[in-house]
Amino acid sequence: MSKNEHMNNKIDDSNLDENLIADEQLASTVAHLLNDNAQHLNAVTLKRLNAGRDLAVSQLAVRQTQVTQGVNRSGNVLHWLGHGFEQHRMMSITVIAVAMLLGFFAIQQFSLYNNLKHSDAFLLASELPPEAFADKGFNTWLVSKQD
Amino acid sequence: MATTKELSDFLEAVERRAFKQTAYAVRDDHAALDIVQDAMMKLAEKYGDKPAAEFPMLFQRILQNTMRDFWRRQKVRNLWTTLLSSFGSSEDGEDRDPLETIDVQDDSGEPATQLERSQTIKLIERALEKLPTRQREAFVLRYWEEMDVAETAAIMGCSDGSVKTHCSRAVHALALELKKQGLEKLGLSNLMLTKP
Repeated sequence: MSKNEHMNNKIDDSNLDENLIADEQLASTVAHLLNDNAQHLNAVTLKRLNAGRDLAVSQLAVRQTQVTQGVNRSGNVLHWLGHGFEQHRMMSITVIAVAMLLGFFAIQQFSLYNNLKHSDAFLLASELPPEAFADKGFNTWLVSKQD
Repeated sequence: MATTKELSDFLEAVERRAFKQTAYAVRDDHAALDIVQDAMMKLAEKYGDKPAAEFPMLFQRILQNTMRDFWRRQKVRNLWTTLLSSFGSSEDGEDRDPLETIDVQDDSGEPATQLERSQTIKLIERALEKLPTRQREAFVLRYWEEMDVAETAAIMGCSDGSVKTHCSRAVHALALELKKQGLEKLGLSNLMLTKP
């Protein structure tokens, strides 16, 4: 590249920078003017804008109140349960213990009934002699009869 | 979570600019007011739990989307209007001249400097209205709302490069239009920016 071409390129770059700066300045000036003009609105427009703003703010206030009340409501239920437990601690423990025992006995009874058919008491109480139950062929016949 | 005072302060600071920006875009002051009010309500309803620092970007995004909804409804409405009008004729049989709907403001009572200023503002406003939508959006967000390229790109839903392109084209288009109107050099001192 010759010296003249190099100089021309430098001048072109400089012009480009100047144009960019000029564009930026123009944009900034236009924006400033527009912003300044936006401050001078008529009374009717200002009134509507104020009304819109008030409505939005009240909407947010209502929403935040609802959120707070919702938290309190759910918190109160848990608090009531906890408070009740604290107040009647012994009774609560007794109720839970009794429920567990009843459950335990219910399970035991259920399994007892299932085991009854094959227990010694069953053998002694049945009409057949005990030797009959030792006979595997008879036992198979007995099961098939039950089915 | 923002407080009601933070929301109120933010909206008070931004509402006038938002109205003017919307008015330039939709060219209808009543519609612009409706759009701005809708945008305020949406911000409070859907993003009231966000911190106040996020409000500028959120509000601009909501405003742009609400304007797009308005244009879509207008398109559908115009389609029906066109279809129905093709079946009927106007009362006097003549087409309405759209120029008749343009308000002509009487400036004769204003002092000279204020008149010059208001006329210059009008020229700028008209130049801005003539810009393509995306260029106007980019210009408003970058230079009027003073958002950076990344924020502008997030609001417009495009890349940083697209934002720079739109901004560059917008500024060139404005410069050409203003030059055509005889406003080659806009100087702050020439336009008396003090309040009337």
